[in-house]
Amino acid sequence: MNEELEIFLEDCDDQLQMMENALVAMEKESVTEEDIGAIFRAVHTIKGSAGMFGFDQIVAFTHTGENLFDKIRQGEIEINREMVSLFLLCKDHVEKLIEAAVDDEPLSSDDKANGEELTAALNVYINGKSVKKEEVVALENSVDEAALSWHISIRFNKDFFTTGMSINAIFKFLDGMGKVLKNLAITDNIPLLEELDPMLPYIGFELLFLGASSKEEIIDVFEFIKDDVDLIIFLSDEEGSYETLCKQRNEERLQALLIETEFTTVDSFTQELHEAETTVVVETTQEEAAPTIKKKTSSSLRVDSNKIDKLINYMSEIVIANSKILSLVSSEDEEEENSELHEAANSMKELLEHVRDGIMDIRMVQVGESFNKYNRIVNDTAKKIGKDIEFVISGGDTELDKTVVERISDPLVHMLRNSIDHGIELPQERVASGKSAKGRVDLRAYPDSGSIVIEIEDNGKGLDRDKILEKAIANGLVNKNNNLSDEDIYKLIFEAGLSTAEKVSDISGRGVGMDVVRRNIEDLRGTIEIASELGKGSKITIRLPLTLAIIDGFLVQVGETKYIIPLENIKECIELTPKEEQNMGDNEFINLRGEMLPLLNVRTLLNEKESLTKRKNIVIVYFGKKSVGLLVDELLGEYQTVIKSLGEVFDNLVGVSGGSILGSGEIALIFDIPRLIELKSRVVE
Amino acid sequence: MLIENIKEITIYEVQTLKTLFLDAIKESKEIILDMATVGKIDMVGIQLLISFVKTAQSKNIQLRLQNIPESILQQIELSRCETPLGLT
Repeated sequence: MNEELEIFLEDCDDQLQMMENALVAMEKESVTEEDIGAIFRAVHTIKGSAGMFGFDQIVAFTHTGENLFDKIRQGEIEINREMVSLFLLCKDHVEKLIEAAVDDEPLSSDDKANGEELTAALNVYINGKSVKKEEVVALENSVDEAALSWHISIRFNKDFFTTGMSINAIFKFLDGMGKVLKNLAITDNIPLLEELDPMLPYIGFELLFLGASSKEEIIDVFEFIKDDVDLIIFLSDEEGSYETLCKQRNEERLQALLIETEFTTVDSFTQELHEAETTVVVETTQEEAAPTIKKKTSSSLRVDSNKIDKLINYMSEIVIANSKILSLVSSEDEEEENSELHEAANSMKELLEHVRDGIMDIRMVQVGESFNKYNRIVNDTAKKIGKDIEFVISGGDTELDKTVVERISDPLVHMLRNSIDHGIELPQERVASGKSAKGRVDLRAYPDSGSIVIEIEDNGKGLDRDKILEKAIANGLVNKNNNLSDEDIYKLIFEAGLSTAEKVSDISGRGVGMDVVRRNIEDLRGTIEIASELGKGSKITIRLPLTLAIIDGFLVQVGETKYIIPLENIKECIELTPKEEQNMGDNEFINLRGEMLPLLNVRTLLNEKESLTKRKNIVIVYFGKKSVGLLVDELLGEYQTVIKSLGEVFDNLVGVSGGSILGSGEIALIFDIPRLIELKSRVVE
Repeated sequence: MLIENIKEITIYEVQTLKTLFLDAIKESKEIILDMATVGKIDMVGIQLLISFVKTAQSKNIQLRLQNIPESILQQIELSRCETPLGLT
């Protein structure tokens, strides 16, 4: 079996196991929304992967299952015990289908009949018990995604044919995902028979693909052959993109072919191809060579991001090892005055900091590049639904970790579409309510207190607080007698139950709702807030951490445990004098220069033992506009640290984002300041 | 010269077929490849056919592909190789 099939099998096994666990849990206990979501995603994933391998039987069967689960997820059909049992049978059947497909053997007639029966049973539920759905709050993504025109250039690495993957299956798959408008087989490189090694791929393809997919989604299609294809993907209307393509491919007739087949026009090439080639010369430092080489060399270098990730991993380990050295050095007998060792260790630390910053910096990209591609999405979406919108981007030069930029892209697109579809009114409505006919959507990015803030603001009709609340109560998300602030109510739009996707396609469009947006952002350790005024507009504020792996922290001690507070969140440290403590009494706040500062006692929060020292300190931390004082025992000083996950068991531990190994071998917990502040403000309210 | 009775033009057969095609080119100035019996084709096979067509052209040999089954034609069309194969 080849590698790709093995990955497919493993993946399916995982998904099926997950599905079974969820189903069994449903049988035993109550049905939770998470379980339903998990099963839906599992079915959806299996369908997607099977589609890529051209296993049509699996696709057809899982599609029916997916449809039913989609309806369950949307609340159209209520799940019952019979259905759970039926799904368990379906799961077994999918297993058989996968087995047969992978072994390339036909299904036994018994299994075939069984499959038909199951499909019929699923269809009974899908068609029969559908209840009328209430009106949907005007929040969801009802905009049919505006399609983008992507150019996909495909070449194969030498082992491609031996993987056994069919490129035709991928073409078919793309055609289901969107529309392959043009497909040009590049056959110039196929040699005459005498020189042909039939096992080597000489052929290539240039595709023009129209679809509402992001670049990442397209790359995902090639997931199973990603090591064996050489892809170049870009928006076909990007300026100079075809010229870059021809340069990169460096194939003699490609430019002419692309013009001939109307992928692009002659005008899009500013210079002749052969001239362009000469500029791709690597700059050398040798003096004698320098004057003859054109100055116009490109200063950027394309590096596989995995290599950088590897470097970061090593760097993380070095940081830990170095803090061990530092603590050993400082614990050395001070009388010995081993100042040279001291000095060496310190300069090592400084150098390492530079290297670390340098590596992190490689990963930083300007957000502007990815922001600009939203222009098109906004324009197309607006045009499609007859709205006139001015889209303003600011802060495009703000830098953010590449992974973060990539992962934030889909949520941003989703939120922009929501703003356009549900936020901005139609021109006539706007005029009627005394606004200018042209709506405005702002996309801003700027750094703020160690994080990056991204804002999406529109001057549309704003969120209807009452309508959201009404819908949330109807869905059982909140109690009728609630005491929610406006902000809390707006946040409800990120709940799974309030968001229902409407578009159903072979690939996607079902998964991404506002709940997924929120989850994506939380996965990046970010937060999301909404402010809105009825009739005037809404503003969504996303806060993201600058980097993901290493942070500068401040080490404190409470009882017997050491904790790390991210330095970027610290405003100041003050001592809690006995007098103030007395003043404070049982109150959980202090008077800080005339302002009330809520205090969070880490000892009581985390059940720490009594203090080893008499002094008490307050570390004032802030995130966004809120500040809280953390009551701790000892301040131990600055500490560079690597965030390590605590593992699944501690996933639900509020206020702690991870752990770190100190130089001494001790473990310190890293505070998740945004969550702690949220926790505290909830208690106060 | 007539080449026929080929069952599949796939990765498993391309080496043999390459030799067969090369021999044909040496022997004849007019080749007909009858594909009526072909049940399977893949990209490796399509690539071999393109090379065959190219080679024939370069040597001024007349090569005709005939009786291409519908399913095989579909595969060829999906990867838009009908033009390089001279089928349009």
